[in-house]
Amino acid sequence: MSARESRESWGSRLGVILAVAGSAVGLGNFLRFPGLAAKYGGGVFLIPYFVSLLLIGIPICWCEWTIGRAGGVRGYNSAPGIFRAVWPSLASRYVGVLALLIPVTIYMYYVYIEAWCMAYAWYYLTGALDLGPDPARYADFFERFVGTREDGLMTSGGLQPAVVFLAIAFVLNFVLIYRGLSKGIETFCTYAMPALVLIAFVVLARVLTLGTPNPAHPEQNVTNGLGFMWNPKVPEGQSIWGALANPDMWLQASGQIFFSLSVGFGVILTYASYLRRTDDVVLSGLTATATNEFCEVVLGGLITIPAAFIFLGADPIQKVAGSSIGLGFYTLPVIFEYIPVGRLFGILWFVLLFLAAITSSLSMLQPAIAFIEEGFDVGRRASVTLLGMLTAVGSLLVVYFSRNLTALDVMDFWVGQVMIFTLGTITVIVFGWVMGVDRALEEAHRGAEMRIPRVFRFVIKYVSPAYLLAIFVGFLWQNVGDYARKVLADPAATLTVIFIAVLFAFFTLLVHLAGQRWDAADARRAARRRGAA
Amino acid sequence: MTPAGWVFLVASCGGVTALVLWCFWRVLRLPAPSKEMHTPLDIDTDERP
Repeated sequence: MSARESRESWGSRLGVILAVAGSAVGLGNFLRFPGLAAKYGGGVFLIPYFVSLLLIGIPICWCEWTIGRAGGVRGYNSAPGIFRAVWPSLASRYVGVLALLIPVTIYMYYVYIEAWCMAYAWYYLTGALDLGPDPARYADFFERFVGTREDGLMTSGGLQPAVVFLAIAFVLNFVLIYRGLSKGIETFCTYAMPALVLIAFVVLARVLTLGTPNPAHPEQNVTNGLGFMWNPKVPEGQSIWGALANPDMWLQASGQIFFSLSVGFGVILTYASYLRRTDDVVLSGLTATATNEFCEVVLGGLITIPAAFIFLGADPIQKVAGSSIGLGFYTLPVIFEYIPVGRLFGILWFVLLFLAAITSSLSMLQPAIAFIEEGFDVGRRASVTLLGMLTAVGSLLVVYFSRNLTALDVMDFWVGQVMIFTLGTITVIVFGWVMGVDRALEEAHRGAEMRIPRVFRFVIKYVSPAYLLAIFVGFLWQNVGDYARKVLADPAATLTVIFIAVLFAFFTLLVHLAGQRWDAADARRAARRRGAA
Repeated sequence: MTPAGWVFLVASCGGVTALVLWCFWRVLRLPAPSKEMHTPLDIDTDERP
């Protein structure tokens, strides 16, 4: 039986929603979003953030769910097959290369960060992170743990703890993915997502009941901590409208929406392809988006920055705001020293981050698994083995080039940002212009439990692509020069970019070969049809 | 915490919480789809008899 005939499916409606929400909820919800809000004027940042959610986040989410299901109905679960099915053009399958390259490459460094979360939870459990109140000791611990001072530190001098935890995280991901869509990903997310929210509520309750823990600093209390996060702050002499005119803030807010919802990753396309023809995509897509927003705005927005402010004040937060790693691994461990039973909350916090990370990393493997299986008619064992070897090479590159986390940073910029914007823009253009917005919305409404408001017809066709292109150009204008110079100047960055290019060529070749097989199968079917007629 | 800060906090957290509760209320009250509908017949291979 061919892969196209032996397809997997989701076990329940709630299961697919939790799996997509699990894919979206990640470290960025609890670390990046609050850091950006603190950096860009607190409440003021929420205005471009929610505008971006309405203009690009929710619309692209609906586009990906609809395109994915449409491709799945035609028997494809991987992006090259899905794009080929909904966009009859020779180029369409090659657009799908991006939807394979993006999640696989991001997995290579994301699983390493996931391993750090697991390690920190373990270190809190064993007491190895009881380093006292000096923030410098936590920075030193992290830098030694991941070897940020020199390349090659993690692969010399015996087996390093970070590599051991990476191996554990790696195996855990592949065991779950080997179990399949429903028994592996869906079952895990069905337990992990409620557990994540429950742990977040426990930590939130602790943060909101801290009062004024240090009498020497009465201003560092819960109310002022919330104020530091949520008060709209405008520069001296400016109105709120002046503050809103900051283009950098709009770029960051749009980027956060984009990365947080996992749109443009290729993951939602694959997940939605396992739905049936009449399964709802509109309400399900909105529910997954709303779950992500709840974890980000409510849980992330009320925990991270207020907790850090209460114990450390404003200055240390401003220094690391915008850096997830700085906030998560340098600053937050310090506050667990001050909180009563802080070790327990340290464990809970890093278990929470680990759950957020693993539900995302799992989703990054499924698009390539689906492609290898349906493109070459191979079984789960072969596809998991091939992908395991490929991602292990990439992860070792990230581990080896550890000085200032160069490989991780370069992959995150070129793949985790530039390519995601590109794929997201292509997806919304395919929906609004290639499929045609009216036909695409009709497709979205098949089996839908709610209707997409009519205003989104205009938004998807005109506003989202224009907004995305504007943001993308601004983003490139602001960043690409620095990164291009870095690639030319730093051999580690150069090698990382070459690795990404080789991976791109490899996936393009695989898509080409798979496309030939699909074309041949279609030709055989057409011949049979002519024979029958 | 300024009054404007409270407005942003309550509007953002309240709005997102209301949206997620409404979505899950809609999802959970839907009847479960029948399992036997998960068949390869769902696949449209473009073949016509």
